[in-house]
Amino acid sequence: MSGGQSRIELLQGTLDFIILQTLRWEPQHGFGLAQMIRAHSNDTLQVDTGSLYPALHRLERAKLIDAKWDRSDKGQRVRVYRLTAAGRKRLVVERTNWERMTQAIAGIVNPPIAEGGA
Amino acid sequence: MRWPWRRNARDSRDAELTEELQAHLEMAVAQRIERGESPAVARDNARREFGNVTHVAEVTREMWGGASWDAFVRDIRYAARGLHRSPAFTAVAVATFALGIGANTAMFTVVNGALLKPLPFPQPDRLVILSHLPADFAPNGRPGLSDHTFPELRAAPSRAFASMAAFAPNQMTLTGVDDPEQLSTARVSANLTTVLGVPAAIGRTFTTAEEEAGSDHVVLLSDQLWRERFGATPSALGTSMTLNGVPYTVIGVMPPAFDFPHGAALWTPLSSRPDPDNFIFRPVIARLSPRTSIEAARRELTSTLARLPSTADEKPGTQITDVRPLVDLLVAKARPSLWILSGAVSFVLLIACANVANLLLIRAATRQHEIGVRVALGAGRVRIIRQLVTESALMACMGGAVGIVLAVWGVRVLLATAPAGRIPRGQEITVDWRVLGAAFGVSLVAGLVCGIFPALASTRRDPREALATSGRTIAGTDDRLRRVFVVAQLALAIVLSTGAGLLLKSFARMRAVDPGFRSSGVVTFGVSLSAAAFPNAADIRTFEARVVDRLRQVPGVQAASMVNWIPFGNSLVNGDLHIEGVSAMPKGYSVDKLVTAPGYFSTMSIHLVAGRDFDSRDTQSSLPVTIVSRSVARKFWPPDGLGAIGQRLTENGENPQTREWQTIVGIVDDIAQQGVTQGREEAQYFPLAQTETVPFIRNVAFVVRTARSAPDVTPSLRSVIHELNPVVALRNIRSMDDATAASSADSRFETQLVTIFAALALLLAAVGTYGVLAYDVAARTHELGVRVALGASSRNVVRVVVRRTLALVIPGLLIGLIGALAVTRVLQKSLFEVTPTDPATLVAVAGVLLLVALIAGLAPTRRAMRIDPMTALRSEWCSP
Repeated sequence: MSGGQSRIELLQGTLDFIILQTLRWEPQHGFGLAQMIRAHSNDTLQVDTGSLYPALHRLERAKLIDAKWDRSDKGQRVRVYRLTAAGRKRLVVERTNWERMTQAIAGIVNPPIAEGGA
Repeated sequence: MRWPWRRNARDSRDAELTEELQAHLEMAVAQRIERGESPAVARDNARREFGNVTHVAEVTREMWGGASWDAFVRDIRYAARGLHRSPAFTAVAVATFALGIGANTAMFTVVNGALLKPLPFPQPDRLVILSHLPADFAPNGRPGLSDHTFPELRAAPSRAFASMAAFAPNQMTLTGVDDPEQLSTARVSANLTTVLGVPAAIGRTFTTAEEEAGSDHVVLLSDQLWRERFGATPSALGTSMTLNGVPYTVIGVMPPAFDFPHGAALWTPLSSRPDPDNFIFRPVIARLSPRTSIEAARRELTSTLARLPSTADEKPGTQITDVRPLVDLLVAKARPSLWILSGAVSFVLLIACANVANLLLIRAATRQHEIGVRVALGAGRVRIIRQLVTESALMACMGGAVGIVLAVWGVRVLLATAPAGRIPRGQEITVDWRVLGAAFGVSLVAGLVCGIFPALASTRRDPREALATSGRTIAGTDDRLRRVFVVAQLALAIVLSTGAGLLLKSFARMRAVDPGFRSSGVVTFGVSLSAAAFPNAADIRTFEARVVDRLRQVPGVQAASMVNWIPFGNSLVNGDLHIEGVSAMPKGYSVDKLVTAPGYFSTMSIHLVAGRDFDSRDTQSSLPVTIVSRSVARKFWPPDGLGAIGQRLTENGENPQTREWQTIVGIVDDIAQQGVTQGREEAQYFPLAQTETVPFIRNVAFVVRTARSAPDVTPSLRSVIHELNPVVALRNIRSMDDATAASSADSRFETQLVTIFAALALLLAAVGTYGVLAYDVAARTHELGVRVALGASSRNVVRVVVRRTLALVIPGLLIGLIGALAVTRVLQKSLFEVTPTDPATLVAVAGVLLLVALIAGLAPTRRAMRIDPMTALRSEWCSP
């Protein structure tokens, strides 16, 4: 493990959302997804392969994403995942939920200051 | 190792997953090299970051569907691998399952064929059997309707019954082609085949007109007879065949599957005209109208009978009227014993299951480390349980497969050894889809039940503990569970052995009964003299007397005679008698009535108590004479009955003619006429020479005392009959010993089977006890070694092991005995002179079980005695 910063373990469910969200930009293979998640979170979120691949296969089974074999830029044969129509719909829902959730949590963490106070 | 299912879709998916993860690793390595790490370091780091590839693959695969076919196949594959790794264990477990499932499948095959399968007729549930009998006929009698009532009932309007027909099993002699042959036949109402719903395969069935005398010389052939006698040619129709010396015209052939009543080779019409002097009771089959319940049918039958001329004036309560499913007629006698045997055999399966469960527990204990590792690697408990259970289910199914093979063979043996008629519908007893389904279901359930407890127990422990210790753990739960299984096995074995013990004792009692005659050295055979060849009593008497004379001249024959109702035979006449000077005979008093030729008593070694046997002095013109059995004489001329000689009796209670009085000339022992369990009976004997009643002497048996065996003497007997009359066929040639054995064959069969099951149960229980004790000793090698090192003598060590043995046996024994007391009651009807709670049997069984358990404990005890303290203390224990 490198870096002094401790990493946050992902909650189940959150990972699904993050995968769907990340795949929104472009189809991606497992390694690429792990890299992107790590990069986009400034190295805060580290996805364990033991969680990533089960999640990918679970989402695939739920038909939210689908997969096909392709070649990477470097010629490596890779399994590339891509959002399905159902996945896109689900992402909208998850995203709304997520926003409501973060707002709610933010509200709890930083309670609004009453107007005209003090 | 390559498994047959290697090349399926799931495997290619497996390969894809491996490739996918491998690609991930490759890319990670490549990225690290790009960043400047050396290839070796990059590879190491990438691997470390990735984690355990196998584990990742496994948890990912689980996403493919928890209960899916793939997961199932995967589990089976794991299980198969696991079993392959320990072939000895697998072999023992599969063999145990095979025994249990095989025995049960065999028994179920019989029960299925005999009791559960529908009868081979259209809408068999609509077929019923009608019965209306005097109450004193009913208890063990077959259902029947009198020949006076049947035609009236068939003609009466009915809502409940669509049609009805009577039948009567018969014997006929077929002559003309080869040697005379005695055939099992049946006389049937013209519409019997219609009632049953089976048309003729070729030709036609009977018409109502053919029930009338004069036009009733027509015959329907069974498929088998048609093939044997007519080479299966359709031209057989219209030809003539000689039955009982009379020509019959073949009008049709029934399909091969038609076998009713069982074993009939041909069918002739049954007259619907009643015999004016007698009431003959015959079974009557009816087909219920659609939507009529048996209850409603019974009500209608009762109310109709109240209006019929032949039954209207019967006193209420003197008759028993019944409507029962037809299948009852065929299986009623066998049903209780088949259920008892099924119960017994299910115990064997339970014991087998307990045994395998125990083996699994022991195996799980030795695999604790492996299981711990897998749990530590992230396999969920449920997943491991699933795998362990799959393993046991797989073993059970393998055992089931072997068991089915055993069953196919076992059923064959069972049917071959069963006494004739004991297992009804024998031809329908086959291994069919229902049997296979049941065997598979039982295997699966047995496997699951056996597997679930050990699996639960062995995964309950904290994996860290399993990993930390090297294996010297006997967990409390497992240990307790093992003990429970062994105690349960022993208890079940006790119950079964008690059953077997009771039946054996009862059988021994039965064999010890003195029937009043000596069967060894007696050969007997029957003849039926047809009305065509022997129209009147004189012809019959002359022929039979000549047969007896000629039999006496056969080389090797010491004595010969004739009797109309052979002991343990199928028929017997019972009647009342009136003694001169006794005005009020006991109410309902009746005795067996038999007709014999001179020399019967000496041939059968029946003791002549006083007076003389019939002889050549007794003729048509001489004084009518009779012989009574000892009990009859004692009853009326107490105390010793000798006063009977010279006294007179008659069968005609009202105003007998002179020739209707018979003088008693002899007294003989009572004999067991109907079978050893029936006891000895009172009887009155008449001389053949003075018998006028044709039906009494038309079907008779000859008895021959000879040192030769039945097969050896048979050709001589045949030629005697053949020379005197070539159209008379011999039937039922057998030694009287065989007849005696056959009379207790039912009990012998039941006893043999239950004893075999009990022996199996004891064997399995012994193996189970041995397994637990051996494991115990092995697991305690360390402890026992310490004891020995500290100065315990080998006697002390033995005491420890014996105490462990008794701790298993005593509870098993007690629970078993209590169970036996509760369960053996079902045997009541099968037992002869033994109560179901016979103390001697219980004690003996307890003793046998104790002995078996101690023998099972012997090897472990010897091993314990030989423990070398040094080795024991140094080494880890080795698994048994």
